[in-house]
Amino acid sequence: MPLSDASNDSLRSRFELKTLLDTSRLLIESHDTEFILNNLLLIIMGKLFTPKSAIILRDEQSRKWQLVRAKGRTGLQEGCLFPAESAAPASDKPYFTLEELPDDFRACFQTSGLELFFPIRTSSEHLGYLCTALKIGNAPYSRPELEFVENLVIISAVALSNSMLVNRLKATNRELDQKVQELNTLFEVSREFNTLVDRSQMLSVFRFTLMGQMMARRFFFLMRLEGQPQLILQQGLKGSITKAEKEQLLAMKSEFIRTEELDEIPAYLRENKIEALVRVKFQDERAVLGIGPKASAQPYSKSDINLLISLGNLAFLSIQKTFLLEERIEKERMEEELTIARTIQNTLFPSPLPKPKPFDVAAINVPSRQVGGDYYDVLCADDRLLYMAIADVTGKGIPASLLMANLQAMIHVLSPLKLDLAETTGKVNDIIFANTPSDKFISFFWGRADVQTLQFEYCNAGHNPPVYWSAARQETGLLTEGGMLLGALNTIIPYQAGRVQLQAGDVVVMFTDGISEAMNEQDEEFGEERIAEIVAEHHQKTAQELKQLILEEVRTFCKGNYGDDVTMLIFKINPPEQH
Amino acid sequence: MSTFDITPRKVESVEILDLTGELDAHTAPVLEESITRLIDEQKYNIIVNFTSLDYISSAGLGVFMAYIEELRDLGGDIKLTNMKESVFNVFDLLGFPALYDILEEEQEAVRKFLNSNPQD
Repeated sequence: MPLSDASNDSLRSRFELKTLLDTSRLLIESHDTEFILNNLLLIIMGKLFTPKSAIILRDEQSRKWQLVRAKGRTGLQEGCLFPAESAAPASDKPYFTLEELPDDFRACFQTSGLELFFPIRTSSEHLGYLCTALKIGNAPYSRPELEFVENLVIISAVALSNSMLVNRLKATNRELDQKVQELNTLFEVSREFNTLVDRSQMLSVFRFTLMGQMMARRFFFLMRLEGQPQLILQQGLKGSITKAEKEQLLAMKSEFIRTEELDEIPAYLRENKIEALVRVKFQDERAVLGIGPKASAQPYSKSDINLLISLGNLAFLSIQKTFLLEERIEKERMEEELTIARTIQNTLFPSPLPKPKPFDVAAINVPSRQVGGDYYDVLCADDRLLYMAIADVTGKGIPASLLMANLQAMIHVLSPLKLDLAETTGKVNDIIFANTPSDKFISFFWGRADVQTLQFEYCNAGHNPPVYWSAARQETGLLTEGGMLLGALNTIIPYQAGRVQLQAGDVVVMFTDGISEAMNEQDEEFGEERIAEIVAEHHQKTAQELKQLILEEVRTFCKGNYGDDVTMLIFKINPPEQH
Repeated sequence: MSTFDITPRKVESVEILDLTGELDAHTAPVLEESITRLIDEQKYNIIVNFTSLDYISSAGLGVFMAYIEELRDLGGDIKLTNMKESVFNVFDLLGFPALYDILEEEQEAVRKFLNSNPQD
């Protein structure tokens, strides 16, 4: 017995319901967009006997409509974007015919053969359309067929929306992972750069990081060293780059440029396929990082470029830091050496000062820099002979102090021999002349006193004449006898010795030009006259008091701005002691 | 301070480097030295086993970039095996799977080397 129409209908609708349920479970459980799209089209085509179908979705990024899947001959390319702005008629009809769509959207499908457009909607979003052609043979669809598709599209909309969300989440997660990875890299590089002081190790970290992070095999880092542009890092590069090209790169205006955008591409960049240039700047200093293609053939992303800029900045500052550090270490080393030199020099000055009766002696030396070129000495050759010397070596610092040490040694060797003073000065001059460059001289004064007879013999080799206060004559004079500066010429004209018969109350003040040439604000020199005046007025004071007095006067005169080493040696003859 | 160690081994004609600890900017030169030594000794078939490697940074990956081209030009390769997921993730994020032979198991890498160089 044939089934009634009614029971036939109910059987068919039950079958359709089952297909719908199976399909919906299949689609909803899958989070794979591709799988969902593919199945949707296959089911529709099988069910409706239509030769063509397609799915159009809204593209998130471009905000345009994109053909994501098509089956059958539609003449449309999968992936193609449609320029149409709006595609949704303001209606909640379950489907539209081509004629019902907005003009610009319809134009895109005029020749495709697609006639029916089922909106794929969730409660909040219009995702796209499922499109079909008419049935084979152009027969119209029956009501149940259309309802089946409507139901299927409603279910698919949820599945599709879910899978797209999952995809978006996956993409976002990966982007986050990438960001975290980039931050790790930056963190690691800055940590290494902070702890390293060795430039080659730093460059090695930079090199590995660029290779690993960017998958790049070719790159260079250009910066200015001692005024010259130099490639301080080169990886995998051939050929050479001219100085002018380096300058051109360092002058680049933007922070980032693709090599192909340069007006003129240096051969070095072209031949080595350098793809991108990143400029970093700190104050007036610049550096350029050039990098070749990624081994994965991917282009450099915005994120890559930002990272390259950060890495370039880090490397630039850290490498500059190493140079500054080296300079500082060098400076500290020199200062340490100067301190040692100063210590040695201090031991060359007599301490304590010999003061054989009736001689009262005072002396001072204040170098304007750590080590100076001034010298004074007081030494007893035996019970009777007292030598006193003062000298000023041209220049300052280590060279001057070396020459001073040389002179000191000669005096200490020669004094005990009690040779003729003028003749010995000539010998010393010959040695200094032979041993020093032609621009180094010494102004030198020395004298020898017999502590019993108070005979004073002296020789002045181009030194500021010491001031002599004669108690007998109650006046000052200058001790000028001698000859020229030591070290200027061989001794052709013999030095002359001067002789003075000292007596109680006599004062001799020896000094260097740090005293006599100290300047006041009017650029006037302190001068020998002032020294002589002080001595004339205060000759009754002790050597120590006189020394202090003169120093005070000089300090007041130049307001503490001594231009040179300050050295003074004073002796006074005390009256015989009363027993 | 990161700790890192390399133990070299040999399986048939293939050189194997077992990495332990953390491979980063600090320890990368150690691995570089091992690889350049193998190249100097003309041993071009290299497997790097990551079983005991806990961490890798981009500078660590840089070492592999530095020598892969040279090794392949010499008819050899560096194959990477037995990575922890976190380590593989870094390789993956930076796009290395496109260029490198990254395998689950060391034996698989050994087999690949032996099959491609039957004369060894």
